[in-house]
Amino acid sequence: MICRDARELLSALIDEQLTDAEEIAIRSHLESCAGCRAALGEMEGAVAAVRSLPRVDVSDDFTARVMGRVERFEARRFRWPRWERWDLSVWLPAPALRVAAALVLGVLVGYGGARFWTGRAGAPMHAQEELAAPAESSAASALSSPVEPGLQRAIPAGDEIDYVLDRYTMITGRGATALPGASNPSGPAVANQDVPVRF
Amino acid sequence: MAAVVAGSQDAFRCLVERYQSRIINLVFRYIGDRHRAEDIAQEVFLRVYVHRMRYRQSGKFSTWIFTIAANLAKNEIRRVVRLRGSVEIDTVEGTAGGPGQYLADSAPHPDAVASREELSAIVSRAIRKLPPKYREALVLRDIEGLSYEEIGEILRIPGGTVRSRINRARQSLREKLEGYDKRDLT
Repeated sequence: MICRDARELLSALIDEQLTDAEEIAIRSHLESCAGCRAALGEMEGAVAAVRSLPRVDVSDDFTARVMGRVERFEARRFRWPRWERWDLSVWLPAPALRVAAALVLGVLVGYGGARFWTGRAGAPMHAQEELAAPAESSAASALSSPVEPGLQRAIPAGDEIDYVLDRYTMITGRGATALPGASNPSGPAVANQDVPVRF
Repeated sequence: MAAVVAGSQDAFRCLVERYQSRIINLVFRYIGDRHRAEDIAQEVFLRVYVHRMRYRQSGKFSTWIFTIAANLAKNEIRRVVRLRGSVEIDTVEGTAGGPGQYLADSAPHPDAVASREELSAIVSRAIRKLPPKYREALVLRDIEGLSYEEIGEILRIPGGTVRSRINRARQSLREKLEGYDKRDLT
């Protein structure tokens, strides 16, 4: 073994980390090499110096500071609400308040349910059907033709149609035959000719 | 540790009291700043608490906490190096311009050494002037007394590399302390 290889093993020799073969080889080399023996002695001195260094003191409040940080961490962390937080008596201690809250909740639920079933605020379903097919209903009435049973519900009553036609005649000065969708087999309507139309 | 994993703060307090001195000394020997070492040690314990569910019962707790401490200490060295200049931490010798320049080389001449405190300061300064990768292996071995296997696990290096780094660190330390009598140092 040469000195360079021996110097690589000095540290492990101190820590007893060498294999048997390595230890036999380096001890044999050390017996014959004063330089490596001196290097081993210096390294042992350096290791002993490091191991004998005084340890630094810990501040008295170190543990308290760590535990304080742990508590702050726990306080910030999200937790699922405990059952007590859902207890109504905690939030509304007075019975009257609980009754009032229940009534408000009931009204809100009822109003929401009504809106859900009607589909639109304040409008019954048959009104929506009227809005969806006004021309067809007028034409069906004007022709007095049989209509689909489901559509009959959407056709306005005769009095309502009279009223609409009267208003139309009064505003435009034209007869109801000029209304779009109304058929007139006797020919085109004459201007300013006030002809009452009955259905 | 099982009680800590279960969330017991009393158990965690015991754990802090048991390990605080070792962690602070380890970090202090890494970075050479006592107050900053305490700050980093606090961070180490907080991480242990936050990540306690990740601790594997099969491994040694001391190895786990030393790994966290070593990583945070290395981050601190990198931070200091970044503040003082763009120097790569693992490629630079612990001399002027590198991470080892925490203290100026103001060691007294061997003949002028009188007290044990002065000798301790000289040895501490010599450790801090080591390149970080040698310093951390030396500190874990000679300050904390860990085995080669534990050091390899903490630093994530093979056993042969552990042996090599400790040897280089000691060789370098021996050269820095050359001239001081062995009896003075111990």
